[in-house]
Amino acid sequence: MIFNSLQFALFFAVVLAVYWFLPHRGQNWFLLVASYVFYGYWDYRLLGLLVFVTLSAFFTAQQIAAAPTATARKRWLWAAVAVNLVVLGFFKYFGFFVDSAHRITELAGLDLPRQVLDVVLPIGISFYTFHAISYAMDTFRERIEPERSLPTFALFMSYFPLLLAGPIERAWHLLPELRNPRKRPSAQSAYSGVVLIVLGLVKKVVIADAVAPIAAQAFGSPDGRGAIPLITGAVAFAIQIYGDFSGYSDIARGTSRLLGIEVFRNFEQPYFSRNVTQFWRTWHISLSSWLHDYLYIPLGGNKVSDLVTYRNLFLTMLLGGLWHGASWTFVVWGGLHGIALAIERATGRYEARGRPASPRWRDVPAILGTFTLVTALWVFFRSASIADALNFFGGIFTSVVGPRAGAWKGNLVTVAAMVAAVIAIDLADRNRARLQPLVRWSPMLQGAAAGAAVVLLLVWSGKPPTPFIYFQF
Amino acid sequence: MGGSTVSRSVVTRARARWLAAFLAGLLAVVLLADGAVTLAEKRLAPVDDYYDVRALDVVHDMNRLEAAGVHSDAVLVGTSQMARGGVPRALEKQLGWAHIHNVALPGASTPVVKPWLLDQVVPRLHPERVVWGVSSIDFNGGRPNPVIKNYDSARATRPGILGSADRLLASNVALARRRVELREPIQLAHDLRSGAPAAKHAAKPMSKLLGPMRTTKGRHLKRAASYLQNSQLADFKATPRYVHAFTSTLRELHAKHIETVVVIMPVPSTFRAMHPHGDAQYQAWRRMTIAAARRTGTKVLDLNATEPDIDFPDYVHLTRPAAQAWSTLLGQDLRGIGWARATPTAAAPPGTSSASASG
Repeated sequence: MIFNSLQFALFFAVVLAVYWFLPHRGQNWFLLVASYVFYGYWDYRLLGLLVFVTLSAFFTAQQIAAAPTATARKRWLWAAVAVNLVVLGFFKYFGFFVDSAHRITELAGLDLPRQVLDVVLPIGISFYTFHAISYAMDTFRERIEPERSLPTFALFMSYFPLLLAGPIERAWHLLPELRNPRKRPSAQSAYSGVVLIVLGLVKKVVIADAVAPIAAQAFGSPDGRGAIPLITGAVAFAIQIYGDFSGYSDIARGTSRLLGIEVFRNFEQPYFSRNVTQFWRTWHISLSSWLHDYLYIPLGGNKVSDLVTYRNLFLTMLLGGLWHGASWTFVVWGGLHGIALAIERATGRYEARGRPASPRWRDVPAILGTFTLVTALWVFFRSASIADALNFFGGIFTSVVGPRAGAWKGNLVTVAAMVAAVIAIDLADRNRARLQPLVRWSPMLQGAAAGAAVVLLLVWSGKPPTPFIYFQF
Repeated sequence: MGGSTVSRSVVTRARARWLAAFLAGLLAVVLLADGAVTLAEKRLAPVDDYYDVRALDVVHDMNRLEAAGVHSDAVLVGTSQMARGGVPRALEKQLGWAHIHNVALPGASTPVVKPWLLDQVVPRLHPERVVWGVSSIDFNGGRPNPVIKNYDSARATRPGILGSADRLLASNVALARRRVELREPIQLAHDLRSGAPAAKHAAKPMSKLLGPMRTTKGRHLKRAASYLQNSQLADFKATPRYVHAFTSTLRELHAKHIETVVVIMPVPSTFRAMHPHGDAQYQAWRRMTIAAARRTGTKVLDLNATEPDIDFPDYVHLTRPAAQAWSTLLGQDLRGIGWARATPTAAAPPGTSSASASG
């Protein structure tokens, strides 16, 4: 059941219709059951793992809070973190490490037999284990009291709008919302929730899915395409992943808002960033801030020598890359971002946290430069292997338009149109009032924008829904 | 009290005004866009709602037959093996019927034949009989099969409520009907400039869709063998889904009182040997298929080894003369099981008669 499917629309309509007739406790129980149904729809067998991670996080946090000494608290924290890392490591990285070890032994001239278990990757595992780790860390840091109600905590772990691809919530933010009775959203808030859902659908169904085949074509067989088709393909992927993931996040926020629960904003127009540091302040914010709080800071953050700070930046981004999946391409992608961040820090470019200032005309060269760098690094992220990525870059320098360029003019027009759409949406979003998107527009203009969304969805729907990219992480 | 009633009515009126303006904006954009597409539609080729141009041709042909009130005496279904190997005129000659139609589609494995036959062919041609030519490739669920996905994604054949909703939408809204063209603005602009609603392809009578095989040699032959081994027969496994599609179709045809014969299509020894476990695997599939068909009460004609290897220039399809001879043989076998009684015939429209369908 994915957000861009009719099944989800029906599921959510039923949830919403029942939800607001229930008292607060009933709402939580109902949301918990709905979340398990939502997750079980993918594969009910994986519910067991979710329940196990939930129970272990719940009980270890109780132990952290109840531990009599600092050492005992620390032990329970390590236990909590270890359980999640073992679960994540086994299901996500087991094959990767066995495969890499085998390659190393091969290089050393040893031909050892390879027995790799075919481990299923449980959908959303990276997200809910990170929820659990942040909960244990926040309990340890006494930022929050451990949750006493198991159903409320289980809902925190499995809340369906966030379960599959985030945003990665924090216990200190989401748990109080779940604990306390919720107000029915005002007309304006409900309207903004619907706008977010429609906007998210447009980003996914129209923008991301329109450029996805162009990216797939370029990355699938780069040989003989030439510079223009390959660069078009790389930009297509940059647009695809943004439309896909921010579209998902918008739908998650919109559905959640209709349930009276406000969740983190995950994107702040990242492609308007003037440097890589700003990019990471505005891209997948819930992950980058998670890495900042639970990895970068424990490593020492910037309260250490310059060199150690650069190392911390590099390590944080390297592991952030690995979080995306068990592949060297993600490691290289993260590592290169880490190097870029370290260089920017060394050259004195510091970006304050929070919503960045609106772009000005004089920022255009820096924005274009950052977009070019980020897009080039997406090539590693999207390629199946490092060799494929290098082959992609090599293909750019063979010819301007190669013999296997395909319908590159049409692709160029499509990608340009979608880039323009992203810029238009992000500029409109930049000027938003927090809960009242587009509210400054006249109602007729708002209606016209909704009409345009309907037209675009009519044209770009009609095929089986494609899953969101971040489901695989 | 009175004040609050007044202010509430003011709020209600303001909201109503807001909603009216919002809806006016929304409808204006949607209706303008749909109107523009409706106007432009006259300069575009007819809508192509099928997964494959051949399926579209067959449907056009079946529509003409249906409009002329023609009911099929028998239809031939299956994959390209039947599309190329089944010659309606040869069968008509043997059986003495006037309306045998070859509606086989390339790549139509059993999960495709089921909806194609039951939802597209039977309602249009109302066949009294079905000849279903099968081979091991049609049952291979061990490899990814894009044809099934394409068939289920095409608007005309998309199953379920979503498919029905989309067809309903497309019949009323030009924006939805023309979405494929609208997604490619450059091609659309070109089509609109060129003006005439040139069909993307000239519709051909059914059995002319796939020409008879020419002799394949050298590099092409190697490529054909490689494609067969590495793609069509790769990881060969007659999976439950494919077998169920086969048997449930046969049962549904029985329930509709449509007499059905399953024909094990002829293949060369090289084809049989190309299965991952060789000829033994092919024979196991053959026995399983015959048993499964018989369990549904369907007659089976096993013609798998009736043609010499030399008649298969690409390991799969028969040459033109071999197709003619094999169809005659099939006709004789069908006559042998009592399929030769004469039936009243209706006039066929030009271009769709069995004469033109014989290829």
